Amino acid sequence: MTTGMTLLGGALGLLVVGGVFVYSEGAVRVDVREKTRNGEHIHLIVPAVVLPVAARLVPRDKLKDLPRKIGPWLPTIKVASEELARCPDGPLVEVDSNREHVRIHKLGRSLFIDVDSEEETVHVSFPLQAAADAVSQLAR
Amino acid sequence: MFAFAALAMPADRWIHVRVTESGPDGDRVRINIPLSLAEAVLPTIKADKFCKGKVKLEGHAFDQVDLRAILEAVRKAQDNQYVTVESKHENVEVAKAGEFLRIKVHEDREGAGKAAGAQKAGSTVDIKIPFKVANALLSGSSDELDVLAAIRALGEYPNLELVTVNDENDSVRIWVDSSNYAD
Repeated sequence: MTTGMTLLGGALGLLVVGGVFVYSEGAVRVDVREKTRNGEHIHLIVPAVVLPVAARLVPRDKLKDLPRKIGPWLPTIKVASEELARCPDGPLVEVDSNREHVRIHKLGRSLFIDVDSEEETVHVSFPLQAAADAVSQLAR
Repeated sequence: MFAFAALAMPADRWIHVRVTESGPDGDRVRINIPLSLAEAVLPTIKADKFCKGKVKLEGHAFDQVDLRAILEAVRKAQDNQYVTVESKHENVEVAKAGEFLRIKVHEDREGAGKAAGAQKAGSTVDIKIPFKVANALLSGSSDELDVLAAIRALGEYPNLELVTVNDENDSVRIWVDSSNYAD
């Protein structure tokens, strides 16, 4: 076997292992659709493993008081996300009115938030653990 | 072995809150929270008057009344309606029914219910608290309510209707069961 083939095999192996890791950590999905005629549609899917890293890269001066404000709530966020991940799947909050419908439900180890209002529909979903990790990075 | 362990574990208890406004424009809110989540999260919250699952009651006269003694006396007594307050617009009843303390409040709406055959209008509040939960709530010092202990005590009841409020416009229901859906 040539060195080139060995390197290619190694790279492919790394790619597969990396892909499995990224897949296992889940993804953050944001989908916003405005209901106006030329309304915008924003669709974003980010691997959850990127979240804590991205949070780390945010310039400290942009966060200012955030660590002081979030800091006391970190244990609560950590415990809540762990406990929620353990809970059975199901709806946590449902609000229905003439103007909007809001759903927050838990499925697997992720939290799903759906808002359907007169102006737009918003869907956000994220793995609970990744969100807790990102928040703790922001609070550092 | 794990299957047996899972079978032996008590089912998750959920506290449900449902608020329904009447009429075509009425809002509807349903909240389902696992008691285990509340139990895990409450000790971590350190807010102004809320710490380690306990609420500080400042400025209340609870230290002048021995609520625990009153509660214990009622718990040991026979089932009966212990307090009845009847006024022109409001009736309040406090009763003991088995292991539960029941509080019923009916408030008449001004001028309502005058028409023949009209339903009794106004608001009705029905609260049903197990003595075990009430005791747990009062298990801290005299100027605090131990919410965490009360939540733990609530977990012992498979199905429990805690609060029902009905008036012409809204209805509120708070209950505990082992289903993760409100209905």
